This record gives sequence, C-alpha cells and structure tokens, in this order.
Amino acid sequence: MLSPVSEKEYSVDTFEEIRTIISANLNVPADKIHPDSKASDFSEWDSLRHLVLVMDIEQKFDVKFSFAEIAGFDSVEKIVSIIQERVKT
Amino acid sequence: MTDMRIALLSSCTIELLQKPFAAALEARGIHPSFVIGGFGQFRQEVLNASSALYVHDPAVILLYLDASDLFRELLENPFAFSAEARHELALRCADDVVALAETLAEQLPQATLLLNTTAIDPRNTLVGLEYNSEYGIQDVMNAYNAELSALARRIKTTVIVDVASLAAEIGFERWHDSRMWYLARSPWSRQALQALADRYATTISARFGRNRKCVVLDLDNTLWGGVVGEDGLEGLRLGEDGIGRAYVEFQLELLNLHRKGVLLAICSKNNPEDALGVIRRHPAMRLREEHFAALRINWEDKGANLRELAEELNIGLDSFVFLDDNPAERSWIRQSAPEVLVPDWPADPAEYKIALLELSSNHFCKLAITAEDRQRGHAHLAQAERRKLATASASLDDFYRTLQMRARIGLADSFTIPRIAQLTQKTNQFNLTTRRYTEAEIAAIGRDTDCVIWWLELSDRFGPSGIVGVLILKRQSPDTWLIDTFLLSCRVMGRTAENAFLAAVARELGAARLIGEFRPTAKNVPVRDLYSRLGFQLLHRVQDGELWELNLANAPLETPAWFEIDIVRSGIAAG
Repeated sequence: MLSPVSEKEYSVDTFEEIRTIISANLNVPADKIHPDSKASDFSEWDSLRHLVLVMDIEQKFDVKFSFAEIAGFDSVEKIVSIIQERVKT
Repeated sequence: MTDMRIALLSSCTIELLQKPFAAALEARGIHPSFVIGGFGQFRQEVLNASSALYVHDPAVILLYLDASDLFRELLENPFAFSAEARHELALRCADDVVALAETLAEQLPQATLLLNTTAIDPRNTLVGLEYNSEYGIQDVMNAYNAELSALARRIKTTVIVDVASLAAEIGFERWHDSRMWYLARSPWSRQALQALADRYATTISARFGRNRKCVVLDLDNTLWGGVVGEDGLEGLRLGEDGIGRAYVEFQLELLNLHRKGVLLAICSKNNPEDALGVIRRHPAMRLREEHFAALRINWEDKGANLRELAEELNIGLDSFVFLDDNPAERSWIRQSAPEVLVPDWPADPAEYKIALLELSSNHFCKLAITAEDRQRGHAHLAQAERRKLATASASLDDFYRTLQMRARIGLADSFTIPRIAQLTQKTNQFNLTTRRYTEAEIAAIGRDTDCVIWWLELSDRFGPSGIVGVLILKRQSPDTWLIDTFLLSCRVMGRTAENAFLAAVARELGAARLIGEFRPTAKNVPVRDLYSRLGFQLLHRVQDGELWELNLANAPLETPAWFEIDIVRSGIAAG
C-alpha cells in the first residue's frame, strides 16, 4: 500500500502507472517501489534498463523528455512530478 | 515453439533491441536465447575463437553496423574526401565486413549471418551539393551496400537485411533518437526498434521456411470494384481510370506473389458463371483462371469452403491468408478458422495495394526463389488433370501405368541443396522423422563421408513435378544404413514413388540392411505404417518413436513396374 511520506501531492494514478512500468521493467515486485524510492535502491536499475523504462513511460503518457530530464531521473519522485507538470500544460 | 540461439553483435549499443526482438520472434513461434556482444566489441567477438559468441554456438548471428561508426570521419567532414577517396573508403569498409563474414562462415558454418544495409540521415551538410558537386556521401553508402549484396550471393549463409529501406519507410525523423544516441549510443527510437524487431524476426522466419503459402481472395469489391451479380461485367470498376486502377494494381501485386511461388485461391459468394465470366472475359483483369490454384465460388459458408480448399491444396489452414472486403466475413473466419490469418483490411480500395505489400513483407517474405517456386502456380493445372485421370482408371495399377511416371534420382549438390533444405523444412505429412535442416546443414551432411543425401525428381505425362523427395542415410556399418530422413512432397503421395525411390537408393548403395526411423507427429499419420508396408520389421521402440529393420537379402525392395528410373551420378560440389 502507499505510504504517504512526502508533503507533495501525487496523483495516485500517475504513481501507480509508473510503479507498474518500473516493476515490469526491472522485474521487481510492485510493493517494493515506493513514492520515495530511488534508482540506486535497485541493483536491476542499470543504465540500459533506465532507457527502456524511459521509452515505456514516454509511450504510456505520450510525452517526450529531454536529454537532461532522462539523465536526471534518479528517483520515482522526479519522474512522477515531471509527468504531472507535462500533463497539466 | 522452436528454440533458437541468437547472437547480437553491433558497432553501437544493441541491447535495447533484445526485448522487442524476443517478442517478435515468440509471435512467430521461435523462442530465442541471446548472447549480446559487448559495446563495439564485434570484431573481437568474431576473431577470438573462444569468445562468448562461439561458446553460445548460435543458429543466427545478427551483426548490426551503423553508418555513424563505419563512416565516422566521412560524416564529420565530407569535404575531406575526393571521389576516389570515397570509393576506396567504401571498399575498405566492405572488405573489413567481408573478412568477418568469411571467418564466421568458416568457424560457424551452420549459422546464418544477418548484415544490414547502411543509410544516413538525409538531413546533412551536403543537401544541395550531393549529386551536383564533387562531394558526396550517398555514393559511399551505395558502393558499400553493393559489396554486401555481392557477399550474400557468394556466401549463401549471409542474408542482407535492408535496414536502409526500413528507415526510409519510417522516415529518419522518426527512426533516430538522438537522446538515446548521446546517452547510450543506441541509435533507435521506440518505433525503429519495433520495426527492426519485426523485420529481423520475419527474415529469420523466412530463412527457416516458415512463410504462409496461400492467399484466399474474395471477388466482389476485393479483386474488382462492384458486385458482378448486380452490376454486371460492364458495370464493374476495373480498368485504367480512377479507382478501377487501384484494383488493377492490387491484382498486379497478387500476380507478383504468384511469381514468387505463393498460391492464390478464390473463395466467393457468387454464381459461378457470373464470377468466372469476369475472370475469363473482363479485358482489364490481370489475374486469370490459370493463376488460381483452386476455386470455391458458391453460396456456402466460407469457413467450410476454406476447409475444403485446405484439403484440395493439401496444405494446413495455418498456411492461409484470407482477404475479404467484408468485415462480417472476416470476423466469421477469425472465429470459425482461427488458424487462418485474417488481416484487417482497409475500407478504401486505394489502400489495397500497400496493405498487400505490407502483409507480404511480413508473411510472404522470400529470400530466394527456386525453380519449384516459379513453377508452383502452374502445378495445380497438371494436378487437376491427374485427378480426372484417377477417377477414370479402372484400377490403381492401371492408373499408375497410364501416368507414365519417370523418376530421376541423384546425389545432392550445390544446385539441389536449396530445394532439399526447403523440403525438409516444409514437409509434414510424408515425413518419417521431421528433421528440419538449413542449406548449410545439408551441405555439411553431404560432406560427411558416412552420410548420403539423395533427391527424387518426378515427372509424368502431365508434366514435371520437380524435386519432390529426399532421402538422407547414415552408414552404420559397411553395408548397413540408417534412414535419417525420408520425405515426399504431398503432391506425389499415393503413387508408390516411395517404393521406387527407396529401392533405387538401396541398390545404388549396395545396402544389405536398412534401419528406418519413425518419429510420430500430429501430421505424419499417413506414414505411420510405411516401413511395415515396405516389408520392414519393427526392431524396437525408442524414446521418440520406433526403429524398423529391413534385411535386403531376405526381403528385397521391389521397384514398381510402372516407373522408369534414371540415376544421375554426381556429388556435392564445393561450397
């Protein structure tokens, strides 16, 4: 279950969708992925899995990230918040 | 599901291709296990005899070489290269690849090597100067790709995948992902990865003989515009103008499929006279009666008709593709005959030709055309004549006699190896052991001094059938031979050709004893008792089948009297 650990407001749906994508890509159980999870928490989250993850997320949310954004996605929180910003505009 | 070991080697990062490629292969019934070469390590992998590549012993090696890696200096500064320098560059790069291909052909002779043509982003500094000045980049790509083509024609285990054209299809804008390139030296967008995965999977599938065999066509609003029963022949839209031309071009592409050895058949709800009237007499028809291997023109259910077509053509429902403009019919066939491929079909006839070409590149992808392929479309005409004769003959023996059958048998050589391999891959019913072999594997068996490969060619008074039988035998002792492969094309089943074939080969080998292997499958029920019928005794059962034995001194093989047999004595040519 979600444990609310941040003051930021997440759309539950956005986080859930991202959690599903990360879980499928890294082959890691969904309940190990939390809103405050970092890429470094998972040994499976290497540089190439990162790229596949990014492409899946781009397709799911119909967004395109910049080089800097992709390179900067080192936590679940960052991914969720950038998507939410994009979806708003 | 067939298991297949595949190696992925590249000048750039190829890892991102793995997942979509695996999925595309699984969708085609191939379960891959991959070994992936280290970034930019392709030369080391190939040249080091103990590398992971050789340990993996793959059936397919996908070697992807990107233009940015092969031609980096040229692309960075095309102005530094004169025409001669460019020509030299192209040949030098090609020589490098040829050397790798030759090493692989030597060290892994059974493996298929997939090489890509190169393309560069047309948005480059030479826009305007290309073709108009002394500078160029396209000529280098063209010369390099031409060398690859020459290589593929020389080394038969090499297949060129035209990635340059694939990128053109998608458009470089959508093909190249510069973020992925800068982040990880992976050149492709998600769309490009999917397109590559599909194209490579189709190529492998085609290489191992797994294409569909027959297109079944509706008539009204599929082969021509309009409904002949209502509009009459003159009212149909088929001709040089407007939408009529779209139907003509669609027919022209179907005719090309026919030329490649794909069967065409008709399944239409119509009065036969009306429909055949159009096919025989409409001046703009490009497809005529002789192009169709079988017809079902009636008012019956199309599902039942398809099953009858499968029976008549002697191929499985899983070999069919069904094209019909009517979504209700399509939906019905998907339900009632799920093995048949029923693609979504465009509502607009202007899109028919392209839809067919896309379908064709996925399910009728041919990498070579054999003489049998060219002849296949006409074979049904002779077959129809034979059937008529069969019903007229008083007895089977009479029938065989009147066929005036001539058999030629010979040892496999470089000329016949492609057809032999094709038969091992496609033949299911009259196939005692169902061992699938590639051309390279057949060639290797041929070079083994304890093995022989014989082909059988049949012709009768209605025409030639081409090479229709294969026998592969392995010597167990000086006069005992094990039958590893014994197959006949379904076209010539039921004519005692197997008796003539085996008798002739046994005599040529001077065999005293034959051991026949039978491995039962879902499809080879017709030959379950073949060895028994030929006079063999059951030796014992083994894990996946049975071993039968024939002692030729006690029970010689009879050559049926109605065969004339010629023996062509030749051998495996080099290469």
